[in-house]
Amino acid sequence: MRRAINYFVVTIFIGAVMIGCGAGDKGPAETALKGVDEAVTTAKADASKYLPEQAGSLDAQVAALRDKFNKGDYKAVLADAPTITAKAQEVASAAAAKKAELTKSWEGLSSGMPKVVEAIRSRVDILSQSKKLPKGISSETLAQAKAGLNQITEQWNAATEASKDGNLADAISKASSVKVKAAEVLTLLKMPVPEALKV
Amino acid sequence: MTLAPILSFDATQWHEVTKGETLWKIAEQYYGDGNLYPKIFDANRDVLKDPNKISIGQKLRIP
Repeated sequence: MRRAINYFVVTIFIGAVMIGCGAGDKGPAETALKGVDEAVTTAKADASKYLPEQAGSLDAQVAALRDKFNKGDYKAVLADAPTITAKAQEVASAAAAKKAELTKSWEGLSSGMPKVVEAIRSRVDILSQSKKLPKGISSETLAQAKAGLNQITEQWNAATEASKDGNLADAISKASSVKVKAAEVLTLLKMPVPEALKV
Repeated sequence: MTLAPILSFDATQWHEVTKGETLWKIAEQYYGDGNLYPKIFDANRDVLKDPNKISIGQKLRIP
């Protein structure tokens, strides 16, 4: 009986020590969670736009960490926080690199495509004034080129709007359609297709 | 990271003048209508002073 009481007392003591230790970790765990939150918020500023999947993964990791904190598993919070913070920094760097890459692509497109569109418009205007079309270009071909030019203009305006809204990936995607259509129309008009439209 | 090569967006069409050609003939070739030769002349004002004077080997922009 006495031995049983001793076991009981020892068990209670160990439990109290464990709870004491856990409670002692709460402050550092709270600080670590706050640090993770800040790192993830910073990373998501660009990542949610340029690397949405990775931004979503960071959100899930923070949610799991917060869950551990709410359940009082402070040791796990302290153990996981540095990994998530490092991941957030990694995502932030990758998002910055992606943003730089897209910005460069868009700059090339926004300075080059208007020249292509203008070349097409000029040729369509001149051919529209011609009394007889050149060899290889029928009135149907010219009508197709005109319709193509209208599509190109609309798509290019949409791409420009997307870039103004800060959606570079969307702007570049729309501009890619413009490149394909412009190459098609240039070919119809027997004009040279620039290298940039061939890729 | 490898940098993508900078590719040209230049869609300018050029024509190299050969023996016996006139702006009228070149306009007829590209536009089907020789009467549109002033379009070519205007686009090449930097190298042409007179639409009746073009030289063999001259490179002209075709707008």
